Amino acid sequence: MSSLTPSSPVVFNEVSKWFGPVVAVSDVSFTIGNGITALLGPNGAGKSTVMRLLCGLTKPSSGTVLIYGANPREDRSVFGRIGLVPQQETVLEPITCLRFVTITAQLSGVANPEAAARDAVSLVELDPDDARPLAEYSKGMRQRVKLAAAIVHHPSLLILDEPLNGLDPRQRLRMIEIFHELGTGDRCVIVTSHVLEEVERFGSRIILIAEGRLAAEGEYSEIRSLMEDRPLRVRVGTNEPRQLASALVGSESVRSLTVVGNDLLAEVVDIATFRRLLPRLGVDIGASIHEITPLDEDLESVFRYLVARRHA
Amino acid sequence: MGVFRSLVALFLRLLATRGRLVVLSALTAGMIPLALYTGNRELPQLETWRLFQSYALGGIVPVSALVLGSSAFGDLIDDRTLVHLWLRPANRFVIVVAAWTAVVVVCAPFAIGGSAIALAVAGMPSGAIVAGAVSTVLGVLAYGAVFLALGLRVRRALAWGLAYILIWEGVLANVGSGLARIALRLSTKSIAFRSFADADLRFALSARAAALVLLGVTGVALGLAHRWLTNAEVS
Repeated sequence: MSSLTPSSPVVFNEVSKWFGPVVAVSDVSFTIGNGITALLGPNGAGKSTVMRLLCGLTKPSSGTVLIYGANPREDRSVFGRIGLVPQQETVLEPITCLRFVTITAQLSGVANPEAAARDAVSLVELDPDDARPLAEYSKGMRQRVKLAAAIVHHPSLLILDEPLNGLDPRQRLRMIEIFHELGTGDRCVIVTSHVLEEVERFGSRIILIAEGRLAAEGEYSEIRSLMEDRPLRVRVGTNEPRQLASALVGSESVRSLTVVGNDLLAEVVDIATFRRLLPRLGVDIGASIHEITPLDEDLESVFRYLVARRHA
Repeated sequence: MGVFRSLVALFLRLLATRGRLVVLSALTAGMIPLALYTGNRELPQLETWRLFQSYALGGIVPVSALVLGSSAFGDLIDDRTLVHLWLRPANRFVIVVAAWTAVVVVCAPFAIGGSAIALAVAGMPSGAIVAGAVSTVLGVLAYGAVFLALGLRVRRALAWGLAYILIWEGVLANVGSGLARIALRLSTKSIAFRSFADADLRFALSARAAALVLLGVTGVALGLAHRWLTNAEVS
């Protein structure tokens, strides 16, 4: 996936995008082939900007974006091969679901737009004959309406920006099933998410974006192990922080130790060994340990670690 | 239904909201007290004509075109739904012309119908009503296209458009002929005034020149709207 192949559905080559002084995407390169690929990153990481660049919705400040070999900002015909489910909930409120999907089919040049719209709406388990305007639809229903509009013209590249937002668990399962169905064959499906466990269910390859940079890319299992291998910062609450730090010096499970007041801050490379070692040392030196708190288990810190690791 | 007709129908649904229709109705209803005032004062025909055209061509036409034109794409940009129309291989000019057609279709009945009825109530001759209708139609086409393009180009297009109508057309255009010629109002009024009794109007153009200006502005504005829509940064 990392080698740049012009024939790949998606080629991102040294792409940067900035808005005034704010750098949203910085020097990102990757290629994406057929199948499901997840674009993973915390909120504000630059995923949606990457999505917009992919679709030609915004122009890169530098670098090249190619979709099936074409620049989406210059070659409008490539839009016929792209289906996008945008992140925003809003749809064209005053019209019905069928009307909305039919118009998008017409704009895509589909031969029999209403029949195609009926098929697409049925596929996402909505009623094509529902006479209610979209303004009366729930968030989950709107999400499915957007999916119907995205697939009505049978795109070969389907881009889904946080598609599970607002769905209940049953709807999530059904949507994931649909993504799997859509991701088979010669179709490229790109899904963004900020939830690692969600991505696991897509069973996909991952491109990990953090702070506008490419933090990692590979199969889900590779990314997961990268995350699990990182050092963890742990705060140990104890009445004898200095003695405990002295006792820990030399342990291979610890990379660094810092005493702050009554707390001992440890950078741990092997958390399992550290957890076994700590009570024993406490007993040996007569220190009471009343708290062991991991400081950076949130996803954002994982991403930060991977970015730093990549650029080290 | 073809794509153009579908888009026009879509934009009509998006534009003809209850709030906007109330604003347009209120603007048009302003003709009624004007008709009563001129009827009671028994003003000369030319004076009545001037009052009506000032209100219709200086107020109803540009303001109603602004309310609708600036919203056609402006609302889609604000609520981030433009992407649903934009990310398709369809010709951008079809989308622009469909939006503009919807603006004209909603705007014209209020602008033309309102002023024509009021002129008839005030006892103006049919020639005056026809002259008023022609200038109003051309005004709606031009203002509609300009404000449609403005909605694609700037945020708060309604405020910018109001500033243009009130400050540029209302004040600066009365200062000198150069400034006046940039104001669309001069062209709409020129058609109306030249077509009826060759009434005197400051900085006036010939009716033909004024019509060409309005049609030219319409074409340029639609061309710019096409360009701006094509190159838009869509969210």
